[in-house]
Amino acid sequence: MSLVAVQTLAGRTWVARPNHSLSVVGRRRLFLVTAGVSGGIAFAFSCFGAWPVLPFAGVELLFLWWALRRSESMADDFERITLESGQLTIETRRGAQVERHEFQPYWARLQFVKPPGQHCHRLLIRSHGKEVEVGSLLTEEQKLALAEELQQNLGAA
Amino acid sequence: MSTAPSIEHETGHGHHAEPYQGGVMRWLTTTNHKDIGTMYLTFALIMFFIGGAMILAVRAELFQPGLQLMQPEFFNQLIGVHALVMIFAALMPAATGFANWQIPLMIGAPDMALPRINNWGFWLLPPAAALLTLPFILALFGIGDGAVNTGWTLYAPLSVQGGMGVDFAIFSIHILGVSSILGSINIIVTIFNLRAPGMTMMKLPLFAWGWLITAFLLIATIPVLAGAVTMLLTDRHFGTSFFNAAGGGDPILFQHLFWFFGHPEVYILLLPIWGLIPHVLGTFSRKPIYGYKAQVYSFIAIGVLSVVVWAHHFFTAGMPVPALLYFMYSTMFISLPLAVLFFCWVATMWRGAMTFETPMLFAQGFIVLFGLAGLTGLVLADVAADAQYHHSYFVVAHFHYALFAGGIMGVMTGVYYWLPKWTGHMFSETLGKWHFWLTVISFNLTFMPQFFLGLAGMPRRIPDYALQFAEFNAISTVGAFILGFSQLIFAYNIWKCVKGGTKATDKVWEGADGLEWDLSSPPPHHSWEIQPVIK
Repeated sequence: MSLVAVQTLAGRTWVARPNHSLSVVGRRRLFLVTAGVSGGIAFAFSCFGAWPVLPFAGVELLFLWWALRRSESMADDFERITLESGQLTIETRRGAQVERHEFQPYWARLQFVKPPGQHCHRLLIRSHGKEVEVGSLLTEEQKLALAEELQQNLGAA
Repeated sequence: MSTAPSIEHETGHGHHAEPYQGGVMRWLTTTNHKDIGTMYLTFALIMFFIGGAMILAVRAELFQPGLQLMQPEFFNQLIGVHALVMIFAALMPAATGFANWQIPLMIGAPDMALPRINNWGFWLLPPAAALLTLPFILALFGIGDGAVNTGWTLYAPLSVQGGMGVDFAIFSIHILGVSSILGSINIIVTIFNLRAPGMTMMKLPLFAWGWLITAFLLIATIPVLAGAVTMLLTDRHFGTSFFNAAGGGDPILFQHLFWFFGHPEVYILLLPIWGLIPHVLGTFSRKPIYGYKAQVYSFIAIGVLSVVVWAHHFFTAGMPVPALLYFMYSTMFISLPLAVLFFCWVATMWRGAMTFETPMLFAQGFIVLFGLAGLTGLVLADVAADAQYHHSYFVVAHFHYALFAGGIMGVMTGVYYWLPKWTGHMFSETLGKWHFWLTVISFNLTFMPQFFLGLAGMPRRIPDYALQFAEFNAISTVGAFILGFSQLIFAYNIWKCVKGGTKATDKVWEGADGLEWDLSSPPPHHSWEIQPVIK
């Protein structure tokens, strides 16, 4: 997971992304090498008359491609918190689901909650009966750092 | 004027706990890697006993010469289905169960990368196992002529002419293949994409490395097996002649296709075990694993070599001398990276503060007995010697030293090592030690005589034999029954541990090292809610 804070003239933005240890280039290389080996084996056997091996290898590689693409699309998940022009905006993306919430910084309350029996804290932003969780993609330390930064910036807003 | 909001530290607030279904629905619909791992391991244990019961019937028939208990046709069916069940429905699911339970815990991932695919991968197994064994039941009602009777290799042209059981086996193999592919791709994506920050490939636990090579081997070889059995099916029912010499086909092509899958399959079964053994040796020697990089490179070398040596399984089928020489030398070459592994295992223990709890005992048994499998494998790799030993009981003994001592005893090592972590309870050490000694002694009682039977010329896959082989067969059968019944101790010990017992600590073993030991015993339903970072 990564947490990046950007200071602009208009305000400040924090972007959190989930942990993905495979880069886009790495993903493509992984597929190409696997497809080269598996496809090469299937092609070699088809040259000796065992052509039914080819479609099975093809279906398998399609599935591998789909699995890698799916994990790539999950890598596009993010949480963006923007504090500018007297407005606190929270945008989240989980797969195809995109959400956007807006708060007035003056009224927004931060809560750092540890439910019983759970190992990790939750960072909640509440205002006017509405509650949004942020930082779910972050480690405990990153969540606390984000909470402290948000507290300072909301106070100054 | 604005007021700085305070960060409120609260406890006791409601949590977004995942709806947790109880009863059967939990197991049918679960996407949790630990639940699915448990299902794989339970399924493997059940099938281990079913496959074991089949071979005890075979050994009972072989207790003395002559036909006592069954007709040769039924004997052949039991032999073939025993092998298919043990390989595809016991050993492979057990290794996949380990992968499901351990890989996310060991690499700091919250779950497998594709949890729903994981669920499907498991639930394909029971219907596949049912297809393998159903023909036995159908035959009782006068439907068909029983299960597949060609041996697990399904050699053409025998399998082209075989009964309905061959069709059941073909469809079962297809389903098992799909399940394996789903599992492999999931493991590859998980290991590459969900490692904790800081866990580079060269910090990956050896168990995960072993499984990664296994997954690539499955991807490379399963389509070849799927193609081969499909060609068999079309030869049987759709008038093709892939393997029918009368129609211009080539029966030897089936052997090439089958063993292109079949030989790597041995390493598919063993690489996960070779991955877990160093963890156990390091833990109970209280030393770091020796030669991490050497072991990783050996895994890779073995993986590559395993797909280029397949024809040593049918030297006697006839092939040009250069091909014989190539397959002989390349097969022998595998012993080099394997020797590196053995050296690293022994060096890990060297001058360590060793203790011999049950997992360590099984690891020791594994090293000694699997070493015998390696040495006898070298004998079979020799073209001239293989001409004598091919299709004899020497081969049967060799691959049982590889797959029971190397595979199943390796699985037992892993179960005893990780069971306290999974259940939160310690198992009975006394029962574990009884299980170990009975297993090792009875295993050797069963299979050591088979080496001598093979050297004396007794062929495999026959229900009757010459009088000269009677004594060693009787000893082997007695050993097999002790071996079979001593596995009940294993099942009881697991059951007892699941139900309760002394509470296990989080680290469980004093010398244990790795991410998984940082979690509670048993681990929480959602592992790694706090992402670990590897320094």
